[in-house]
Amino acid sequence: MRDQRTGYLMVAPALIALAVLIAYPFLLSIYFSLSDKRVGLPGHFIGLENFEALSQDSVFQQTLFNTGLYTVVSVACKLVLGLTLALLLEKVVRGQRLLRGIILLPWVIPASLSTLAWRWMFDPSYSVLNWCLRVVGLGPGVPWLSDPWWARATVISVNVWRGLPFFAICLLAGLVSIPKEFYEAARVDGAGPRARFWYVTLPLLRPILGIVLLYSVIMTVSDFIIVHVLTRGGPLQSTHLFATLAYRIGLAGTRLGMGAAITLFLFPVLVVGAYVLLRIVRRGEEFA
Amino acid sequence: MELQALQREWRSISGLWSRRRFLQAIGAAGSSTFLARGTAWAQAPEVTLLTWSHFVPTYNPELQKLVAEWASSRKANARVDFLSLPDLMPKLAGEAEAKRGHDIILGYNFVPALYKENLLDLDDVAEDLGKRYGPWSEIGKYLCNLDGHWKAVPWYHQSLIANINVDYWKAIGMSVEDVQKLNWDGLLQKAKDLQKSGHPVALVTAETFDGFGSLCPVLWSMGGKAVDPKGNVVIKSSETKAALEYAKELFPYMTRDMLGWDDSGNNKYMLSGVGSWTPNPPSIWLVSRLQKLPIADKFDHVPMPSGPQGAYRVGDSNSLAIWKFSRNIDLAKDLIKFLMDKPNYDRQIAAAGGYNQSSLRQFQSNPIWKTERQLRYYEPPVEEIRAPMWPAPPNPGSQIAYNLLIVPLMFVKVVTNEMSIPDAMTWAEKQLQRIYAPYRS
Repeated sequence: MRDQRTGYLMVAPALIALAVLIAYPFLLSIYFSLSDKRVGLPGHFIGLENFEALSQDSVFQQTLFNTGLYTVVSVACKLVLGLTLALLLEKVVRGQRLLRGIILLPWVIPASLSTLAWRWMFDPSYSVLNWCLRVVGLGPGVPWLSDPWWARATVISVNVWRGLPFFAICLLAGLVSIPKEFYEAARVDGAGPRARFWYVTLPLLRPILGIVLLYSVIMTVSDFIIVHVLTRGGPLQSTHLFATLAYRIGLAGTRLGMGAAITLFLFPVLVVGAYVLLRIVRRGEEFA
Repeated sequence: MELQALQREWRSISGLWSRRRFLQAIGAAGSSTFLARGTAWAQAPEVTLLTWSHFVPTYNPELQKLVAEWASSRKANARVDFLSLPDLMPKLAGEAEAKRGHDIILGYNFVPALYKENLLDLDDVAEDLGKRYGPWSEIGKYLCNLDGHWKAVPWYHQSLIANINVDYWKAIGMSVEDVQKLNWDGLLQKAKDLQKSGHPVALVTAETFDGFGSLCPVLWSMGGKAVDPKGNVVIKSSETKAALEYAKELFPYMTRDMLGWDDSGNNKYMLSGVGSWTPNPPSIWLVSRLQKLPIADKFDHVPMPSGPQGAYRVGDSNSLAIWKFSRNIDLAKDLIKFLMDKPNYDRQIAAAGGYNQSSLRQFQSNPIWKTERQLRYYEPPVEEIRAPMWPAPPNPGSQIAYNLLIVPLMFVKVVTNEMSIPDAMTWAEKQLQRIYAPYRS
């Protein structure tokens, strides 16, 4: 009994912190999203009017498309490239610690700083990348930040560059934990490299793959810094994500209710997605 | 025996520092520090000022120096915080909502109207300054005197004049005097020659605040307006159509890179030696001079081109306002008066190199605009200076429409062929109607 009480007491500070820093703001943003709250003024309950207005707004519809494209392409690239990198890193013997440390750098450097460096590299006037292209005779340069599709490719590239180390290191951890006996047994049964990857590596990697994918999808959907620093949602709102649009409408536009509605719009979708991914993870654990 | 002696000795030493005594010592040290600091806080209040990071690098240190001098003379503390303009608006929103933050804030353009209910009336300060150095100009009164009360004190404004590289114009046979007389049609014709020579003009058609500075003069001089003084959205008109058609015709002769520009984009464009013409306050020339760049001698400023309804220049206004929740209201007012005092104001004009223009008549005769040849057209202006979104009523809707870049976006949608001219005007009309709806009287 005493142990139970002590246990609750030990957990209480963390629960209080969760309640104050996560639960309260979350409930408050739900309330804001159902009201016409503006900065500095009280709000009134208006039901789902904000969500209805958003669903008919062309800018929001574009943001929905942008977010979907950004998330799917970024996560797919990070998954494929991350897994490839993990498989390669697993084979490295000499200097593996140093190499793994260096590979983590993009993920470790503060996002705003690294994105600012990318901004300089993509700058419309002073892009070092365009300078290189001109020097080698590959044309006048690329409109990295001024063409909608190039701008989308640019923000996705920076996101992939930043998130790739996380995928690689997590998947590497999963790879090294797979018992070698399974590969030996598969080899004895005549399985080639592709078959070993498909029937041994992937199923056993499923739990960690699920967790990494879930984390990456949530972080990518809610990304803010990369778009805010590189393009501020432009050109022509072609790179706006939910977070940047909510920032523009809620803070610059002072419409906190609408801003909250934007950020909460995908919440049900993310909950379903998390449930599905966790089920995949659980099935992978059963297999293991 | 020795061990016992050692143990006794240890006990006598550790007794000096029993847990209880240790905690007492810590408590005493902590509370005395707290009390000392508390006493210090009680004696010297701190006045804080939030403003934008000036584009002329020598201005910020001078402002900090002035504020420090004021603080020293009043035996108070003072702090100036600088933010870039796009980051200033969300910061102000945070302070207004939390009712916590700086004492004095920058009232950029329609910010005094946006946060009218949260700002102190400054009638005493503004009227005193008006009597001493006035009268106040129209732009100052339009943005800061709301419903008969001064919600902010106009500090200075900067206007977007045409910045040119004289060498590139000379190369196509145009002297500075010729460029000065150009109207919009003339600029369009010369833009073709300049593009051929590799030095295009830059009428900033981008989703950035500078977009207002380039595109509103086109709109206004064609007779177009976004919102009328009563708050009615009137952007869908034949005059707006004419302005959009003009921008669409000019766009192919400009760099497409400008679609990705922020407010520093056209500055960099001119400083890189590529651009030949762009609307901007004189920071391009000032920065090149400060950095002793060879291109500094090539820059000059001429009035904005004229259209059928006259010649206009956008003036972005900076005013000083005090939050109602400020705990240092009297000191904050005193600091504002100090900054607006003529000797101190002259120092600010000098530190900004003539970039800062004043809404007070007496300050407009500062000799810097006569002694610096490149500023001869900057002050006094030849064109009519208007705030962005003019002649919209100074209400929250105008600042929101400004923050959301509705007018520049409308132009961008047309020049990139994302929308036809009628569709772009309809889009802008819907956006503005939604923004202004809560503020219709």
